[in-house]
Amino acid sequence: MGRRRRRVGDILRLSASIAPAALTAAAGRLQGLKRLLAGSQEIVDGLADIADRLRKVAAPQGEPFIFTTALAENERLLRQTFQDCDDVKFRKFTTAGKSGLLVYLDGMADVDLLEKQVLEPLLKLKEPGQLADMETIAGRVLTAAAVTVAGGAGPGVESVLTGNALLLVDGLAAGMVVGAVKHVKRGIQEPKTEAVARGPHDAFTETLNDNIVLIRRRARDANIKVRIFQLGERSKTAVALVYAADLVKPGLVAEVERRLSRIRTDQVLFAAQVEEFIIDHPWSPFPQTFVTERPDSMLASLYEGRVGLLVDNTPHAIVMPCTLPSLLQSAEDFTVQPAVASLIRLTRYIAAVLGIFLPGMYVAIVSYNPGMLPTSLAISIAELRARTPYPAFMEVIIMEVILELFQEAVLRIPQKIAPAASIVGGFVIGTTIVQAGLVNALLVVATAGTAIASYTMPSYNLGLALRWLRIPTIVAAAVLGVYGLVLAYLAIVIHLCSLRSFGESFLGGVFDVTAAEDMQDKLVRVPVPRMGSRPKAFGPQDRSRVGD
Amino acid sequence: MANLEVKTRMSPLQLAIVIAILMMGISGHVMEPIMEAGGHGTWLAVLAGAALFYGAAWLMIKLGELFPDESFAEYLPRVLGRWPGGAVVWLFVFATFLWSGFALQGVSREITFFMFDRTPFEVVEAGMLLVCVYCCLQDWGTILRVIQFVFITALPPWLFLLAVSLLRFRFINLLPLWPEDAAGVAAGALHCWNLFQGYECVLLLLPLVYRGNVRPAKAVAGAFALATGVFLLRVVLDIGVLTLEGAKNSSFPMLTIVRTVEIPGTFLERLDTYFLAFWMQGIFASLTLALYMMAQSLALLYRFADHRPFVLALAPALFILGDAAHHVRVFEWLRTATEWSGLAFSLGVMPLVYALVLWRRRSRDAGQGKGT
Amino acid sequence: MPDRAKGRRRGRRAVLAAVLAAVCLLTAGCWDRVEIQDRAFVLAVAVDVAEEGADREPGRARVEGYAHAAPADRYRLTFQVLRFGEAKDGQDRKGGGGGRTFLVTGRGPAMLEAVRDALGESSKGLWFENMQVLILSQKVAERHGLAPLLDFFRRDGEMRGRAQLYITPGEAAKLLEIAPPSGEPGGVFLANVARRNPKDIHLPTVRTDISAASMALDNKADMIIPALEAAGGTMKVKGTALFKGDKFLGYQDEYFIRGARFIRANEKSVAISFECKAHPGSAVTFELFRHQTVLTPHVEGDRVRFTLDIAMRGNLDEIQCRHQHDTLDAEYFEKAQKLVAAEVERSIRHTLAIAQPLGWEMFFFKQSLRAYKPGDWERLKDRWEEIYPTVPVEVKVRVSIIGVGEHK
Repeated sequence: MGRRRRRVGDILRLSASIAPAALTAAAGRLQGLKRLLAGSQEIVDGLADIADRLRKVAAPQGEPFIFTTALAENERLLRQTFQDCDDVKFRKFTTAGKSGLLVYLDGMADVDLLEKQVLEPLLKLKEPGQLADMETIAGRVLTAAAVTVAGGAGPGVESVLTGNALLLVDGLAAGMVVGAVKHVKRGIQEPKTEAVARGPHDAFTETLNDNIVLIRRRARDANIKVRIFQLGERSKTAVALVYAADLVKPGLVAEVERRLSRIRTDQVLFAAQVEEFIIDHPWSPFPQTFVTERPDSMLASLYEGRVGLLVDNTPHAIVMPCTLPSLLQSAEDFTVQPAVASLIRLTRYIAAVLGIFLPGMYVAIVSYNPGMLPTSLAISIAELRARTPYPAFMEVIIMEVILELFQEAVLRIPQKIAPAASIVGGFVIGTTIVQAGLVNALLVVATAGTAIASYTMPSYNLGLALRWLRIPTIVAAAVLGVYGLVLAYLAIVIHLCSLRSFGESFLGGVFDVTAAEDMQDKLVRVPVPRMGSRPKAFGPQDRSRVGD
Repeated sequence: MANLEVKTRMSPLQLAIVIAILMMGISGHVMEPIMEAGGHGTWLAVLAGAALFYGAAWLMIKLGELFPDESFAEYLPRVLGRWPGGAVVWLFVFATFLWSGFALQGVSREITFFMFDRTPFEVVEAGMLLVCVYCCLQDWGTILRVIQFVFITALPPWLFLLAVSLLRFRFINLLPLWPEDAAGVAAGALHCWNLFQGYECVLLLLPLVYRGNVRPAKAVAGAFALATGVFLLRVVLDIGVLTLEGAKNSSFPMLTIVRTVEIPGTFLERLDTYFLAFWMQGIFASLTLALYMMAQSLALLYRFADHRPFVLALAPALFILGDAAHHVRVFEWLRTATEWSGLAFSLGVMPLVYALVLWRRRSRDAGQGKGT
Repeated sequence: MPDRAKGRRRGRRAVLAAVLAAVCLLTAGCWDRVEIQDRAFVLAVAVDVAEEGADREPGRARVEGYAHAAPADRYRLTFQVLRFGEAKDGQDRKGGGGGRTFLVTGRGPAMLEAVRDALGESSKGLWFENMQVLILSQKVAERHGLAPLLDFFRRDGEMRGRAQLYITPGEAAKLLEIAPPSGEPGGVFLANVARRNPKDIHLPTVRTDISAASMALDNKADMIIPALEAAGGTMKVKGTALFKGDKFLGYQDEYFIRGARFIRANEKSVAISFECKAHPGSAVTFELFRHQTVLTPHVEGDRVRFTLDIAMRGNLDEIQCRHQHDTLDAEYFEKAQKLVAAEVERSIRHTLAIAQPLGWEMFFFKQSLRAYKPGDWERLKDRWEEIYPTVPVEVKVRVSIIGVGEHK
């Protein structure tokens, strides 16, 4: 710039001795020169862009850039990455004569910790020798516990987004990640859907680390392995694969990993999304993974030789493989007397069958095979039905629709109006629909029984499956009566038998004579001292629960 | 996907269940000729039949044990030559086809009579067949599971309802136990093929059975014992409740018995519908197995990797056969044809094949002995 | 890629299955869907000869009846059908056909024709699965025999073998008009009378339902059917009708039934009275508690005889004497047992004396001969009809009194 101004000065001095015409010509040429200069500036910018781009290409795959030794350059690149992320803070400081930079996410990182264990030791540092490399800084200077050297920018950026702090020092082509995650989270609370009267009251929360802690705290066992993956190309949600290394069936972990690695999606918000990617039959109404919010249930499953999956931000663990009997187990079964638990189990199986078939049975008996009823019952049902105008099928459909509406309404409305809704639904509709003659009282009893039966399912998703299956069975019953019902039953049985969950039969050890010993914890539950072997259905490496 | 669990093999107990359900599932409409011939000695005829057909099954097992890890559809064309071996397999398929068509029509008859009034046979048959085909289109592991499921859940209530009929049993109706007419008993024993049909599946399933501590012959014997026990119960009930003449004149003796039972003081009545609901599952299991047996034999014979195309090809044919037997006369004729084809296969062809195979082996061994 | 192909194949298969299922549902109309309230519950059927009560029916004057290609009308069937909707209050019992039920009638050359004829009077299809009772008039039984009357009811799929059979000397339809005082529908009442009352002396206590009759017809065996009579707005089971094969023989009284019950050992708890020797004119009553009968056939050449060993246990239930007996006295006891035994034997002799000349036999004589002496039976069966009327029966009765009640 300076040289140019001098040249303009020279021209002005020259102007005194040069003719105006020559002056005009010179002005014209100067104008041309300026244009050239502007053009070259554009070329410089363009070249810088190309250089930038070239530099990016030089960065390893999957990383936005690589750290250089120039702090200013690093800062520029980081600011570019976090452009418009106003919650990312850049703290500049000088340590032993060198400038440094601390990058962290406001609200996610523990500022106290950073002040005391990172900034304070660095600001007090006098010897430049201790800033030789990141390892030295970590070993000699910082007092923080969790520090790792981040070679690439990718992990650095990601750790900032996770809530850690990234430390950069001028002259070092590496960053250091200081573990300082401290964000708002829910504390560990009681299970919402799987509460037991006598037993632990802690449940999984949204925080993956806490969930892993809940598992670890229950088993001091180095064979419990926790492997953490990231899923979701954008959300980069952490997912932990948990299993007992010496129990799990050979090949199962590899299979789960293979299926996880095949997931192509941008975001993972719920564990259920992961589930749908890895199950075998996504269109089946039956839930094909065992979902629990109880760490003890999960650990018990791990010790059966199964594999668990914890997804960050979801307070439920996924357990694979899943079998129908395991969906019908509840933690409660193991805290009450075995005889009682066995009865409850059996009741649950019966409830599952009733939950599907009761309305269908009503239709079949009333419309096709009333001969199945004893005469006195047949007469009283006929007299009840004499006043209802609709065929049984329509009647059941009306009732089902009302039931579904009611269930949806109760789920959706604010908690404060829920009691009012119960009164409207339960009392007003329940009673008056009979008085209005739209449906008869017996059907209300049957439908209510069905609904209650599906509520008794320990697995919410299984209850939903029962609700779904009711509709085809009603249709089958409305077309072919009891015969149609039996055909529908057989079709459901075939479907259940054909389901595979990670290579295991979905029915597990029930109704398989080669796995008869599994029955100790299926339809019934034997006392724990007698439960000496792990279920054969999950193929654990070691069948015996005691001794090695 | 890598199926982590290998489900193509079965235990001897599972073999026993498969055979038992094949025999027990389809046994409607078949008692009458046995009773016609055996009279009061029907129970003896059933026992003799059990022994006779167990003998046939035993021969088949012996034959199968000569060729471990191979089913008859694989070794017969090799040993007997392509055409004769194929012919034996086709006879097997034909016999199975006949009895499954007979069974399909039989069950649709019973269901239409007891559960419906105007619903056509075709619809009842098609419904049953549809479920069977659905099951048969699964892999063998699934089919085996379904069979066990039915065996465990449907058989006990079915037997219970049958046993409830003992309430109306009169011992004097059974007497005299010892029949005068030995020839009648022998004829009855041959008629028993329709009771015991299905054991031929050992030819196909034997290579799948684990070589464990229970020998297949013993497992098959267990299946025969169970089925024979149930058949004897039925004979005793039919004659003991309805009297011999009554049973002979009844189109559906078993259901007639169950229909007239009164269990005092229960809310259950008209047990025939419940009974049918459970029995139907047994028939479904038998038909599914029959369909699988046919499809799998053909698949192995023509070196297909999968039995499914044959299931889809056979199902309409089975429907047509079952449907053709609407007419009560055709139905009777089909029963006779079923019996003859079955007897020809089990007691005629298979012992011959066994003898031939043994003879060839011996002569080959002798030839080798000379050579060395 | 193979996964996607597999998925597509699976998807196609699912579509195929759905289409198949839809086709099935659509083609499978709903042939037999009849709602329970749209069925006319037939609780009882009365069978009369065709000409009975023809003058009381609507439409007869104008049209003669519909034309049958088959022979002329044989039967008039009256169906007792349940009337819905009055179960709630339990009081509103209108007259005219029995309060909770009403009657429809039809006639025809065969039963099914009569059923179809009756539909003209019913707004709903007749439904027989709850049929409780079949009442035959004596006239129709005499004219046509039992086999044709029962054939429809044993052959049709909707019928239940458990419907009780009754016979009545008069018009069978009249009995269906009577409303039982208990408030039960008539058919249910009559079925319960026959089914639930083992102490009823009017009943033979053998099964007298359609399936039993059907079995007897198959075996060419004889039969007994309780008789029903109407008088003054009530009905009563009184006496029984004997059938030889399907031929009506006549009525017999309760004393005959009692003897038959003794021989067949299906007496449950009869009261047996005998005259007290010490106080003539006063009755002492024994109530049977347990009963065992062994019937043994003996064949010597062409001579057949039977021995009947009866053992009975029971209580002394009632003593009409005005003086107190010491009932526990050994001698009294012995005498009482002997007198009961004598009374039982007398009863049996009475029954046999009537039955044997008629050639009517429901005492297991034929059956036990066939069962225990099959060889002799083969030889004698063609002459059985000649042998039976004179076959000697030795009766031995042993009675043990095991209690005397609350008073000595």
